[in-house]
Amino acid sequence: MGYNILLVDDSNVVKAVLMKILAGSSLPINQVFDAANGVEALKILGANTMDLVITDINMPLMDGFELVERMRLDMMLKNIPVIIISTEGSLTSISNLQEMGIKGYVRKPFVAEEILSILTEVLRG
Amino acid sequence: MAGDPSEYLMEALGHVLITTVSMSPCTTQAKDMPEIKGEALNVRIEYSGKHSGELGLIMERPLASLIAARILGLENANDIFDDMIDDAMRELINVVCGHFLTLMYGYTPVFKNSIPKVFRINGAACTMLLSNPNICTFMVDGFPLLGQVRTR
Repeated sequence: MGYNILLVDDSNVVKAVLMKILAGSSLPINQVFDAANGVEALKILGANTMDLVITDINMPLMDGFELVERMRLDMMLKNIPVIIISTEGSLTSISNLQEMGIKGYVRKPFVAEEILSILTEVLRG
Repeated sequence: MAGDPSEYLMEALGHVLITTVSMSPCTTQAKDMPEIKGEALNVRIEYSGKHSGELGLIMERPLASLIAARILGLENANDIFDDMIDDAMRELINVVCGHFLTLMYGYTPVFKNSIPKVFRINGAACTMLLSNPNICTFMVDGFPLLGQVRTR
């Protein structure tokens, strides 16, 4: 059995790059789901078992902050680890996200090694 | 807030382009810029919070498709569809804006960024923009690129 991972970003380009990184990793991945915003992400999370959520912050309809907040309030979702990949540079915002329980933060622009390192750390505990 | 916003835009753009697509922008005088004759892409983002303003990047399609191709790891920039180019441009300005805000205002303030928008403008509009004091001019791999910063 491999990991189920959900990518949440309104940019198809970013999701394509992340999928390429995941495909080239040695991690046992079962399926990669993708959503364009928090609303879509919650629908997918409601219907599938997920091992990790990787999300952007600045998205239409529902941003990454609200997605993380809603996941923390949901008994079924609150233990799914979340990694934020964003342009956010405010230490205040990052601190707030850490208090909300995110497992990792990567600032854009990222390089593949950063993503793989944090994915391995979070998924392998 | 300190310094010239145009210099921060240059620094942010340089950091992002080098990291993501191995391209290095250099500043140039408007009078030395090659003329943009055809259609250009104009991508814009607004930020708000303790400070507010707007950033824009304007470039011709060949440069935009080259950047998009390199982000996606594709060898042939001609393989890129318009919607992927627009998507790459939105992502580019989003990331540039994040770094611009940190350089300009530091790590403390919290900003809300708009969803970036891409417009098409013609060469005549690009030429007119060159006389705008908010416009800064760059060359990237031999292609002209206009940057616009408006702080409020």
